[in-house]
Parts: sequence; structure tokens; C-alpha cells
Amino acid sequence: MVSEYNNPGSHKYFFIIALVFSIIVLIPMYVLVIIAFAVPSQTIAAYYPSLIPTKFTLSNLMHAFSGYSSILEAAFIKSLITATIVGALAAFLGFHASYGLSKLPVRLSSLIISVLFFSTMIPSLTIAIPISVSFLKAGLYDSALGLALAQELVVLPMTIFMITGTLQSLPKQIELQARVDGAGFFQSLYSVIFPLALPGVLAAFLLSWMMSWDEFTFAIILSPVHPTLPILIYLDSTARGNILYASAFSLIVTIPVILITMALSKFIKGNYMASGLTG
Amino acid sequence: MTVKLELKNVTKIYGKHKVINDLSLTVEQGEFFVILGPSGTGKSTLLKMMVGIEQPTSGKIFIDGKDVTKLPPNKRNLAMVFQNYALYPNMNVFNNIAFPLRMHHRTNISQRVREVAEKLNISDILGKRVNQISGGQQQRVALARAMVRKPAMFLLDEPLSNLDARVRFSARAELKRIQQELEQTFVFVTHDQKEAEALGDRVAVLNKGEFQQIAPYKELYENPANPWVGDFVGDFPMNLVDGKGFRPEWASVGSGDYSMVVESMESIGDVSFIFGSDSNGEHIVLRAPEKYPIGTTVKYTVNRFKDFGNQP
Ligand SMILES: Nc1ncnc2c1ncn2[C@@H]1O[C@H](COP(=O)(O)OP(=O)(O)OP(=O)(O)O)[C@@H](O)[C@H]1O
Ligand SMILES: [Mg+2]
Repeated sequence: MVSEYNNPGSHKYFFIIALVFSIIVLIPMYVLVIIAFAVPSQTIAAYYPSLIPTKFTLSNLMHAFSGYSSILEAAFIKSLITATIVGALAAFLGFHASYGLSKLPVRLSSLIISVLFFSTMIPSLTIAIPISVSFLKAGLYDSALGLALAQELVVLPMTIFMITGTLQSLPKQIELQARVDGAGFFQSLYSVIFPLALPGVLAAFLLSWMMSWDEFTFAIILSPVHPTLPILIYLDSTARGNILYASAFSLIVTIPVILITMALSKFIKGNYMASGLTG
Repeated sequence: MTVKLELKNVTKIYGKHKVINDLSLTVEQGEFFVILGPSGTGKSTLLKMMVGIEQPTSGKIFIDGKDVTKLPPNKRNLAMVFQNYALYPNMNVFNNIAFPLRMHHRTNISQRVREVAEKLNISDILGKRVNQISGGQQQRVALARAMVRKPAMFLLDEPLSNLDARVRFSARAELKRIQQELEQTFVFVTHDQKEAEALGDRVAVLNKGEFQQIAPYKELYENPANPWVGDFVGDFPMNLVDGKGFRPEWASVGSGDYSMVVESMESIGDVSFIFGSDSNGEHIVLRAPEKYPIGTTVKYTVNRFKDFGNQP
């Protein structure tokens, strides 16, 4: 089979695109890092900030954390809990919904998934206000669970789309074989299909987790009293005008994302497609 | 002899397509029963209904006299080997074989797996992933997984078709040996005549959702129930002259009332065959004792006929 990827020329293009993409992503990260570690006189206090600062200090970070650690910690934990609930719910609901969808003819399941995506076309802001009213009544206002439920609205269609794709690519006979080997419906679902769909489920978990981690609209409206990390940073950099603190916190925001991505990536690559099975 | 598997007036319709048409069948206990037919005639569909992963549109299925038509596959105590083996790709060989035991809450799992692995000569690959073993080994793992819990019956869907010719030959012999050793009932689907001949106690010839004939292979060959079976069974289609059929070896070449024009010649082992057509345009295959140049007319005598009567 002659594939585009076997063509050495296209490797080159891929490399260039990856490079451009990395630069676009890395420049803001770089600015963040130098603001956090360089002396303020060379960055935010300078009339012409230097892109290559010469004097470094840890005092920015020390200051940011010392006077502020309990609020920061609370926001960090709230974000962590919210994102984990969002990810776990997305994986759980997504897997079961997708299993059902994967049993339908592809045309029908794609139609249903498109309809699900319509729900995300309504701006979060429009639904956040009515949701906050019902959350006040239900006691979910300002809680991590409530916020997670609202954010779930945004991530679930994407999640279902991803996991359905994974499930549709599994050989049908594996499941039938499990039934013949004596597995009941749920046994085959959890001990055979779930492990095979795991790469897709984990990818969905990761994506939802990250979407929640820096989600803004629902967070600021549904949880303003005890804010999540992105809201805290926003309040610091704009409302309180403290860019030094904000950049220090922003670094804190990125670290868990990098860690969780690295931890899960080796599972997501999954080599179940290379199992010598067809059909 | 207890009756093991019965199908009564089973019909299967997909949409508007009638795949299985009012089939009835009895497979005896301990029998090696082969279902032989061309591609797309409903062989796999039939097997799927027996094992319970498809429901018949109408008709009933009995195992040991018990109506199992509505029973899900995990309640039927049958084992099935799919054409592509359907090994669990996320488990190693040991866990693949152990899976049915775990599902049936058996004890002594490890010991039982090792026993079966020993029997099938796969003890040394128990720790391997299923994508690290050869096609022949995958087939034996699939068989081991089917055998491990001592099911009431084995259903095999063209399990040897993925193997290369040499391995297929030994796998076939091994399968027959295993069946005789287990004294179990096997239902074996194939479109390979040689397999049907070598393995089947009886062979059911399926075409377009209907059984054309159920008989030992030799009987199918010598005494086909209709011209279609005569045509389908055997290395060559049965020759037809005057509405009567005959096999190449039933005729002697050299002299006689019949004649044909030689079109080609082929040797299989130390036997040569000549292919040609007679004056009615019917294709004829004969066994040839010597070489005949293409275009010559040969005369032959038919010593034995199969008379199909007035059948189409
Ligand atoms: N789920 C299904 N939906 C619709 N049609 C089906 C389905 N399964 C099988 N068929 C049709 O039923 C017919 C018989 O299929 P089946 O797989 O039983 O044939 P087979 O004899 O096993 O063929 P092969 O030797 O190629 O495996 C085919 O025409 C096929 O297209
Ligand atoms: Mg088939």
C-alpha cells in the first residue's frame, strides 16, 4: 500500500507544520515564564520589556505564594475536583451512551451525534444564568459538583463522538465471542469491550479534564465566591492588576495539564488495532 | 444415540433477503457434521442461529430436546470458533483460554488451561500476546478456548481457511484427532471440498438457504441428489450427457458411442485429465491414459451413469 505517510516529502511538511504550531504555542508560554522568573524591572516594569532578560529571581513566585497560598490552594483544589468530576463523568456517561450509539446504523448514530453538537452551539453565557438560578434552589451554586455538571454539557457531545468512533472500529465478533464464551451482557461490556475502548475513553477523559481545567464562562457565573484557578488568575490580573501574581499562578495552571497528558498518553496510543484481527 | 441438535423449519430473513429458507436438520451426538456450500449461501448465519447470536425469523432450535430458540448464547453451553478466531486482543494467550472458565466461575483455572494447552501444543506461548503468534497458533488458541470448559458441542466457522496449505493439512488432521478423542459433537462450516471429505461423518450441501443433500461425502460424489450437487461436489463438475451424469473415472477413453473435441489437458499428480465439449456444447472432463493434441476428437464409453430422472 502506498500511503502519503511513506512519502519522505510529506514528512518534511509535517515537520514544518509541527514547528510553526509549536512556536505559536510556546511563545506565550515563554513570556509567561520570563515574567515569572525575571526581575520586574526588566519585564512588566520596563518601558521596553526585554525578551531575553538577564537577571532572574525567585522572589516573584515567593511573594505570590506566601501571602496568598491558602486562596491559591483552595482554587487549585476546586479546579482539580471540578475537572476530575467532569472527566470521570464524561468517560462514564460517554462510554455507555457511545456503546448504544455504536449499535445503531452509522447514518443514524452520526445524525444523533450532530444533534448533540447543536446543544453546544448555544452560548454558555445564555444558559449559565438560568442554570445559576436553579442551582441556587438546588444548593449546587458555588459548588464543584454543580460547576462540573454545567461544564459536562459542553464536553459530552465531543466525548461521545470520540468514544463512538473507537467502539465502531472494534471487531464485532469479539463481543459475540464473549457472549458465546459465557459472558452475560454486562460482563462482556465491562470485561471485554471496556478494556478495548480504553484508549478512546482515556482520550475523552483527558480532553474533558482539560476543557474543564481552564473553562471560564460557567466558572465565573456559577462559582464566583470560591473561584476556580482560571477565575482567580483573571481576578488577579485584571481586577487587582497584579500581573506578577497572575503569571506565577498561570504556571501553576499549566503544570497539571502537562503531567496528566504525559501520564495518559502511553495508554491512549494503544496498539489494539495491531492485534492481527479483522472484521 | 441421543439427539443433540435439531433445527425445525428455521427461516432467517434480513430485510427482504431470505437467507435461510425453512431448514430442518438433526445432528447426532458425537457426529462430525459438515456444512458445505458456496460463499454467501447462509452458512455463517446458520451457525450464528445455532449458537444464539442471531435469532431465527421463524422456526425452532432444540439442544438435547430442549427448546433453546430464545436462549442467549451464554446459556447454551456451546463453543464457537469464528472464521477469524476473534481472540481477545487485550489479553495474552493464557487469559484468552481462561476467559470462558472465569465467565463460568470454574475453579482450578490455571491447571485446566495448562492441560488444554498441553493437548494442543501451545504450552510455550501462554505468556505471549495474541498478536505475537502465528496464524496456526492463533487457530489452536481459539480451539483451546473453545475446548477448555468442555462444552456440549463445537461450532466451527471455516476455522482453517486462514492457514496456508501445509499448515491447513496438519490442522485438519489434528482437528479430526481431537474430535475423536473428545467424542464431542462438531458442526463445521466450510466451502472447501477436501475439508468436507476428510472431516465429515455427514456433509450437508447448502445452497441459497436450502439443503440440497445431506449424506456422507462419498455418497454426495457418487450419488448426488440433483445436478446442482453433482456440479458443485468433486474436483470437476459432473459431466452431463442426455440428462444423465457421470464422473471422469466412470468413462473409458479410446472408443465408444460418445465423442468430444479436446480443448485442454491438465495433470493432477500422476493422473491426466482432458477437457473438451461434445456436439451439444456440454463441457466434458475425462481421465486420459495418454496425451491428446488439442483439437482432436476422442471417443469414449460411459460405464456407469447417475440418472437424475426428470429433475431440472
Ligand atoms: N446482519 C446481516 N444483515 C443483512 N444481511 C446479512 C447479514 N448477515 C448476513 N447477511 C447476508 O446473508 C447472506 C448469507 O451470509 P452468510 O455470512 O451466512 O454467508 P456464508 O455462507 O457464511 O458466506 P461465506 O462463505 O462467504 O462466509 C449474505 O448474502 C449476506 O449478505
Ligand atoms: Mg461465513
